[in-house]
Amino acid sequence: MMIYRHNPLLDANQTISRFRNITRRLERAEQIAITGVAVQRPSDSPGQWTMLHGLRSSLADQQRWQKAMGTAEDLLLGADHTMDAVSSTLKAASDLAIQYANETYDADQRANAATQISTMRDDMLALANTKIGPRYLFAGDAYDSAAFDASATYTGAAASSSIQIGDGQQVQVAFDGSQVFQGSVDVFQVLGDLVTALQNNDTAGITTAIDQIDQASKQVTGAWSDIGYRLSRLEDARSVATSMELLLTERLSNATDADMAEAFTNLTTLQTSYEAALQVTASSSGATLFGLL
Amino acid sequence: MSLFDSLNVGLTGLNAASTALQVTDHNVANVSVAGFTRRSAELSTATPIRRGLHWLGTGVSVTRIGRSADVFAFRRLLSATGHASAAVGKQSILSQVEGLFESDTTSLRQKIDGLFDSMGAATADPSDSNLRREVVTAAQGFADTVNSVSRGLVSATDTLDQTVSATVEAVNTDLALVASLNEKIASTGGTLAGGDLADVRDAALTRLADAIGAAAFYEKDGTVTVRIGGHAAVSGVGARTVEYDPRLGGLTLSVDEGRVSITSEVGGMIGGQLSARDSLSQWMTDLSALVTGLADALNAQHAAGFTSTGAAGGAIFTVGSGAAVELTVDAALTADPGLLAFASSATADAGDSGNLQALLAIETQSVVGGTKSAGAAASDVTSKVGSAVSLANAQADVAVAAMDDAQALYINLSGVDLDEEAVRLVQYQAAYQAAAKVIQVTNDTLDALMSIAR
Repeated sequence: MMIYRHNPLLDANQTISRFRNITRRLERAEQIAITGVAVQRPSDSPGQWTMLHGLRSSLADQQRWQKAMGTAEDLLLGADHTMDAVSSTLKAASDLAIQYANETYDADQRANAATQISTMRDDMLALANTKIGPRYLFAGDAYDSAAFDASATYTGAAASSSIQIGDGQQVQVAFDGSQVFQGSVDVFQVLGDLVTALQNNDTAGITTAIDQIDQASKQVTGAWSDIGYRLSRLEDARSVATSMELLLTERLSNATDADMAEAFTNLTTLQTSYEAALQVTASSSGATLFGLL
Repeated sequence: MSLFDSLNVGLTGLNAASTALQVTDHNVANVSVAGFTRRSAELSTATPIRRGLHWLGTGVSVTRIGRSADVFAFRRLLSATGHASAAVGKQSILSQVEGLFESDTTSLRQKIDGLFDSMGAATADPSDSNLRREVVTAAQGFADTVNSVSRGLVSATDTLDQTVSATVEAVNTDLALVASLNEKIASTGGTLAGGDLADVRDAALTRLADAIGAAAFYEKDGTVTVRIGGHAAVSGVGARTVEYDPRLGGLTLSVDEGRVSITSEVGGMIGGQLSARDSLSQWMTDLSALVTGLADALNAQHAAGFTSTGAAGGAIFTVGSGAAVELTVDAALTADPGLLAFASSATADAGDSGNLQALLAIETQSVVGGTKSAGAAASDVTSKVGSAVSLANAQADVAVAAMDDAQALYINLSGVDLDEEAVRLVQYQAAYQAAAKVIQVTNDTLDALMSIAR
């Protein structure tokens, strides 16, 4: 038969052990209720920790790529607006050339038109040297200096610079000005030739320039379409990144966040247990037979 | 039987009751002493004498002062104590170290991700000095975290070694004490003093179980043999010594042939801490593999690129060669981020990010042991730490609960119950009063006899 001795030391040890256990669980429950996070340390859920790291890493990637998309968008939109202006300038030059190709105009009038075309050529050079921030858009990878010098000679480099916008996805944000403005047709040369023809009252030369301006416009339109395509890819990538960010945030939250109703219920239960233990201990009489002898 | 014989019989009753009262008094006085075992006065009828045709009793004698020590329960308590101390010892070390790998604000994995994130951001404009500075800052942050983890592991190991060394000294003191008490207890036999010495010996055995997981075996001659890791550390009146030197074989016990290694065979606090030490050592190895793999890969790729001035790239990181992992970022890079070799060609155009892209690709390459990326390796070691801590926590909870049970059982069987002692007090008080009454009546009878003779 088991003997159960009423031993004060045993009672004290068991009471201390009981309080130690409740206090530890209470501290943990308080921490969860305050932070709202159930998984705070690797030991809280070791099997999930690698997955949580992966989720956080992927979330950081999505946020980084979205930031990079902003930078890429600024550059591409800048190029887009520039191409619009280039196209408009070529259209204006073409309209003027068509107008002054007409036999009704005399040499003086054509000479005045030459001045306007010359101004358009200067504007074109300025557009070719467009900067977004410190970056020359059409200088290729050598975007820290102007793409063209005053004589319209390309001083830039080939274009390979790209920005990462997704997992294995890059978008090129550099433009080789020599291809855009001097590919199969040299835009500056064409405008220069038109200026010369107008100054020389050369209607045949003016007519030739009209054809060349038309080819230059097609060349610019081609480059412009490419920019539009890149902007479209950017938009698609942004949509994916936004969705992924939401998904990853939700998964991370599901994996780590505490069920607040459960957390507060648990906390309340433990607080009640603690208070009950305190009351039981305080009301324990510790009476023995010695008190009655 | 003469009246004088009656007086002697009464006297034996008085002495026996008095001794039993003293034993009860001793129990009550020591009720709150941890490890005290209840004493009991074992009384037996004294040897009768023959008077003529009759055998006459000669009263009562105190045979011995017994000790209510349940050997089985005590050995179970020692075993449970050893296991609990081992579990708690290991848990305390590992839970401290967990915070090195993962804290509220940072982690090894986060710093690796941050380094590659900064490189990714730099692809927007490889020539931008601010973006380059952020890459260098991220590299420094990674190095700082690695060094912090490494130094934390070294510090924890050093502290652990010091604690084990101090505990080993205490173990040797207790081993010598047990051997000394073995000799004394044999000479004092079943007396209060002998019981008290046995309690002191049991306290030493408990400390040995707590410290090193020692086991006790009670011999027929009253001595206790103490075994550590299966080897006799105390036998009779002889005691062995334990030594600890982490550089030379770890924990050893002296034997007749010299010394024997017991590093992997001990329990208690020392056993738990040595087990934790193995874990710390493994994690340092994992950290070293991660850092070396990543640094080598980044340095090799960086050397293949060109700086903003067209010079070939140097090393980004230097990995120290000591026992602890020490990682430093090249001082020249820290001073001039323009030395980051992002370009793939010596012309080093502002937008040439060819080598930067190659550096970025290392994030997903298996640079650690040829099987894992750096980030995955960091997550793995952190997960290993978490698993070890979680297991240690669970084992400690179970072991402590088992020890509490064993302790409760031992105290139930061997401890003092105040109600029981109160009853004994009343019992022996009545016995004393009765014996005193016998003496008084016998004395009165003698007086009556004397008065007849006058």
